[in-house]
Parts: sequence; structure tokens; C-alpha cells
Amino acid sequence: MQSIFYNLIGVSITVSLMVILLLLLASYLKERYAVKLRYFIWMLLAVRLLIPVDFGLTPPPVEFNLNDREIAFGSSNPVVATAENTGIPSNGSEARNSADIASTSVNAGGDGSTGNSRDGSAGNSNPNQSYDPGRAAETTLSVSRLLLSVYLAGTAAFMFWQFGLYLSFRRSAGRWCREPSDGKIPVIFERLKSEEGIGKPIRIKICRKISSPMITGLIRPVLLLPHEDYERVDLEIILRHELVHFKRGDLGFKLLLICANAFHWFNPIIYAMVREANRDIEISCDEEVLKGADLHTRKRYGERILELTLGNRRQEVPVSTNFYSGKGMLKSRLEHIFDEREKKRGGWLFCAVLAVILLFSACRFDMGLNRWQIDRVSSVTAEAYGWDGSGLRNTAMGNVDARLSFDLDHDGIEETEFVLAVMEGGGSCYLEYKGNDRHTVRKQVLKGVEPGTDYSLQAANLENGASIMFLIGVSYRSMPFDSGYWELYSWDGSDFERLELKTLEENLQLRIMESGEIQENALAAEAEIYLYDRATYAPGSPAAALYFRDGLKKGEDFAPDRVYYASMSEYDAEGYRTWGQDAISKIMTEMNFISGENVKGLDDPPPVLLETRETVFITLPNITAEVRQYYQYRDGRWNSVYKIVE
Amino acid sequence: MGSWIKRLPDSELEIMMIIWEAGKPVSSAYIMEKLQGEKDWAPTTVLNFLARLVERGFLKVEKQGRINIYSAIVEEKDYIEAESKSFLERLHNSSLKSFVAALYDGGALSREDAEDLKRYIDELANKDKNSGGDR
Repeated sequence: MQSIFYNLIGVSITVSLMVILLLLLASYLKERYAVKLRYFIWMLLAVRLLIPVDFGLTPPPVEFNLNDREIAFGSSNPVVATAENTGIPSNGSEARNSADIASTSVNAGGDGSTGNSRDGSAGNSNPNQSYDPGRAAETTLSVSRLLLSVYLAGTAAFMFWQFGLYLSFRRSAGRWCREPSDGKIPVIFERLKSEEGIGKPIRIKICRKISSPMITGLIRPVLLLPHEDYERVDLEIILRHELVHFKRGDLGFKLLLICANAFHWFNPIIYAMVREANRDIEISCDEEVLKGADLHTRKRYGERILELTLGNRRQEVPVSTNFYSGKGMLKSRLEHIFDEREKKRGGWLFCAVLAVILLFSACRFDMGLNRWQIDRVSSVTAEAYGWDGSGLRNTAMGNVDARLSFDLDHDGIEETEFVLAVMEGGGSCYLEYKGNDRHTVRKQVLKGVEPGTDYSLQAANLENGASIMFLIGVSYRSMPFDSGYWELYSWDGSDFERLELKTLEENLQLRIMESGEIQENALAAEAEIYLYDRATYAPGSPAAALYFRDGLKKGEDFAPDRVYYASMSEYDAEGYRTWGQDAISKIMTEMNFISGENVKGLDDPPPVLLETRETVFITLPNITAEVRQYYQYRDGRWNSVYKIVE
Repeated sequence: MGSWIKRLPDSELEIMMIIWEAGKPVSSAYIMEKLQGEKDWAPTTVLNFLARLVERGFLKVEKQGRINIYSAIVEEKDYIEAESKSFLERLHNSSLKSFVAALYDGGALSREDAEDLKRYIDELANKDKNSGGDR
């Protein structure tokens, strides 16, 4: 329903642009083409307005991707949820976040089928439960739903208004209807009917109440005349006019227009279009009735129409109240009545409008919560060197893809895809988004990075789906410690953005200590973790103390509980004395998104953490410490929240 | 004119329409005859309606011998005008465009505008005549 509504808005805008174009070209068209062309174009546009399908071959020049928000109503007083966290600073992030928070209750109760676990470690099937349980009692209403309700109410009101007034008119005019007392009228009428080739019975009635001859009733048509004192010539031409309307199905056309108007009641340009169309229905009817008529007939016809405007029985109008349907419109009608020139039919123009209307959409409109109802963590790895048939590894690197597909709307089709495409032997890598609307976003990644053996793509669903983060990894299996390289990207619904991560680079320092000193410190703080094996190294042999700078101010000495001791060989000590801090080597060996609950030691783990594993060694990779760090995404950054040294 | 004119029920309007159409004072027998084939009303019903119309001030009754002759006090055009003045009926015009194919469905014009357009017709007719002569 929602998507039909959005398509309808898109169609409304596309057709509006066409209407504006046609109105601008009005005088050009009037000179060269028969009114019939406009008549058919309006008909075409009216039909198009009622088909809420986007056939657009090319992506539209304008695309509205509005972020929906939800309004939460508390049990007592309505509360509009406010943004509590400010995710990636991007357009509409506030709305997105507030929507995210407010709607938690909806999702927690609703579909727990977050399904498709791609990563064994990521099986958190109902991630929303841990969020704000206190909101469960509230009801929420999304803005899009509210808009849809207002729209439907407007459409219904428009329909009721129009049909109600018509029925009321039928009632009030109906009681004035009677058979013509002049027997000649039905005879003339039947003759004209057969001349026009109309077989369907049409009743003819006199109705003193109305001021103009008219034909009405789609199912049981009736032709009404305000009186019967017509001269024969006038009567014939008046009846012809109405019969031409009938023959062409103008009543159906008018119904089509009113439906188009009802479904696009919010668009003022459609009102203008309907008005123009109604005018052109009349003018093209005149055109047909007067085909081949002489000047005298044309003049008489114009005069008869003019007489009707006086509203003979109505109160005299001092000033024309409705300038459009009044004088101006009548004037252009008269102009056409006297216009005897042969005009082109303009079939190609009709086809052009048809093609443009069908094949292009000027605007696509969407409004979504932008929420990703996907697993907390998903990951996929692709081997750059596949295996050949005989079980041997390929020597040349092929193009590989690491692909993650998501079924965002839970319709069973994974229509959204994120792909890490590796080409040219690892020389060029792209991160791609492929949406269900043929929309593609591409970003070059891993620029200048040494090609590796495995490429991995991991996705983390952050902030309960309000934003998504990608981790791209290259690993080098033959290198020491299976090292690798990683890049982080955020996806805000329209673009990828690279994020930097502060790893151990800056906050690790080394200091050489004598073993006696170590023991002193060890006694002072119980929180220390020893890598130093006292049994292996006799007192007096040097040891390294690793400490992390975070929590320390500049110039301050390291606090004992932040210090981790590692034993050093003489060689290491030699290296340290020579190179100082440069003797420390750090190799990133793992970087992963992990589910918060898998991390022991955090009191209140967030749903998703980024885990890094770095191996630290001094001079030679013989004695090592592995530092595991956990980062939590907050305020647009990944902040280190926890460390383990082993 | 005539804000006192009240909307007539369908049946009474039917009778008024016959009287208006006749254009002269008529007897109840004339009305009965006109109603034949249209309505299946008993003579007492018709007399009842006539009495009510007299009461409403739409008709006046004169005795001509033994026959009652009815003539209209309210003219048809005044009544139609009064009826068309109701709020609902004024709105009808806005829906007519959508459901009715009328020869003219715009609003009424002022006499001045109508005269303007009349001149415009003459102008167009003359121009065409002249250009027709040139051809």
C-alpha cells in the first residue's frame, strides 16, 4: 500500500510536468493541431494518473528519499520521541534515530524472523529485545502511515463530495423532468441518433430546472433540455452536440477525469489539467459538430451558447464570478467555433507524450524508516586463489566477489546486495551497493593495498538498524601471524564513507624494567597480567613493560594497573636500546564485528562490538603479546571500550 | 425575491408544473386528465394537494359555478430561482462538470460580459467573411 502511494506521488509529479509543458505550449498547439489532439493527450494523462506504477527506464532526475519517523504516544500524554543518540552526521539522521527508538516496541513484538544467519557467531535472532523494554506499552504511528491515512481520507472525501453533489443534483433536477409535450422533438432526436449511428436508447426529457441542454447518466443516459421552444435549426445543432458527446464516450472520459482528480486531490496541477480537459472536451465537440458547417451556422451556434450564459432564470450576476469557466473560457470556445482552418492531427506528438509518460519518470518518491532488519553481524569471505580440479591451488588470482544479500522487507527475496568486488588481480577493489530499484552505488576501496589471499566483507547492523557498517578485510595467509589489512566503511543509505580506527599505533608504549622493579610493581597492583615468566628468567635479566597510554595524561607516569609485563631476551633488550620505541612491532591479525554478548568482562555490552587482535613483539617475533581491543560505535566513531592482553 | 417560497414536495411540484405549463387558470379535472398515465392518484388526493398549495400561497382558487378554478400566484421562474438559491443547489454546478456533458457548464456571465462576447462573435463572423472573400 505504502509503495503504491509513493509511486502515485511520483506519477503525479511526472504528469504534472507534462501538463505544465502542454500548458506552456498551448498557443503553439492551438495554431497547428486540432483540439482533438489535446483531448486525447488529456485522456492519456488521466489514464496514466490512475496507474501507480513506475515504468521509468532511466533513473529519475529527482529522487526523494525521505526518512520516516515515528511518533510515540505514551499512555497518558503523547510524547514525541527525541533523538537520543546522534549517529553518523548525515541528512535526516535525527529523524532516523528518533524513529529508531520510538518504534522499538513495534519490532520487538512483531517479526522476530530476522532470519538468515550467515555467521555462526552472530546468531542474535531478535536484537531488539535488549533495547528499551519500557517502551513496549506505547503505541507508535509512523509519519508515512499518517500521511497515507490523510491521503486516503482526502480521496474518499473528494469522491463523496463529487458523487454526493451529483446525486443531489439528480434528485433535484429529476423531479422537474417530464416528457416533451412537442411530439416533434422525439422524432427529430431519433433521426439524429440514427444519423450519428447510436443504437443505445437515450431518453429525452424536458427539465425546466436546468439552464443548459445536457446529457448525463453513464448507465441509463438521458438528454435534458431546459425548455422546448427551440427553432428547428437550433434544436438540431444542440441535440447533435449532445449526441456527439455521447458517441465519443465523453461521460466516461469525465468520470475518468474525476477519478484521476480524486486520487491526486493533493496536486493543484491536476485540478488545472481536469479543467483544461473539460474545456477541450467541449471545444473538440464543437469542432466535430461544426465540421463543414457554414459561417451562418457557426454564428448561430455561438449565439445559442452565449444565450445560455445569461442564466435566463437565475439571478443576474453583477460581475462574472468564475473568470475561468466564464468569459475567458467562452471566448476561447468562440474562437474555435469560428476557426475553420484544417489542422494537423499530430499523431506523432501523441506518441511522443505516450512514450515519455510511459518510459520516464521525473521523480521517484520514497519514505522509509531506513531500518535494516538484518542480523547484528554478517560476514562472508572469498578466496582469491581458488582451487583447480586436481585439488591444487590456482597460481593466478581471479576476480572474486564477496557478497552479502539482505532481505530488508521480509518478502523472502534478498533484493539488496552489498558486494566487495576484487578485480585485476587485486589491483582494483570496489564496494558496491545494489538496491532493489536498480540503484547502484560504487566506491573504490583498498586503494594501493597489497593483494591478499582472502577477501572478506563483514556487515554490522548498528543502532538497531539505523545505520550499517562494513568491514573489508584482506588477509595474507603466508605472512607471519596471518596478518591482514582492514578498512571500515559506513553506509548511510546513499553513500559509503570511510572511517578511521585508532588502533594500538599511538597508545602503546614500551619501557625496559629490571626484574626487581617488576616485582615491586606487581606487589603494588593485583590487576596486572603477567607474561613474564619468572622461572625462565633469572632476576637481573631485562623485562619489557608494555603500557597503554589511554587514561594517562601527558607527562604522567604510567599507572601500575595499566602495565603488562613481558619478558625479553637479551636480543630484544639490545634492540630496544638501539631503536627505542621503534623496536616495538605491531601486526594486526584479526578484525571482526562480533556480537556484544560474546564478550566476557563487559558489564553492559552493546549489541555490536568491533574486535581487533594485534600481536605485539619486540625486535624478533619470538616472545609476543596479543592485545585484543573492543570498540563500541558511538557518536560517529568507534571508541575503544575494553582491552585484553595475553 | 420571495424568501418565503418554501421548497415543495415532489407531488405538489408535479401539480404546480401542470398548472405552470397550462399558462392559464385550470380546473381540477384538467389536472386529473394531465396526470393520467403519469401518476395513479385518487381525485381526493389531488384535491388534497391543491388545497395544500392554496394554503402555502402558491395557488389561488376561484369558484366558477360549481367548479373550482386554480391559478398560480407564484411564477415558475420565481420558484425555480428560489429553489436554486439553496446552499446545496448552488454547489451542484461544481459537480456538473464531472458527470454531465452540457452545452454550456460555466457560470452565468454578467450582462456586460455577455455583450462583449456578442460583439466578439460578430467580429469573428465578419473577419471570416472577409477572409473567405479573399480566398
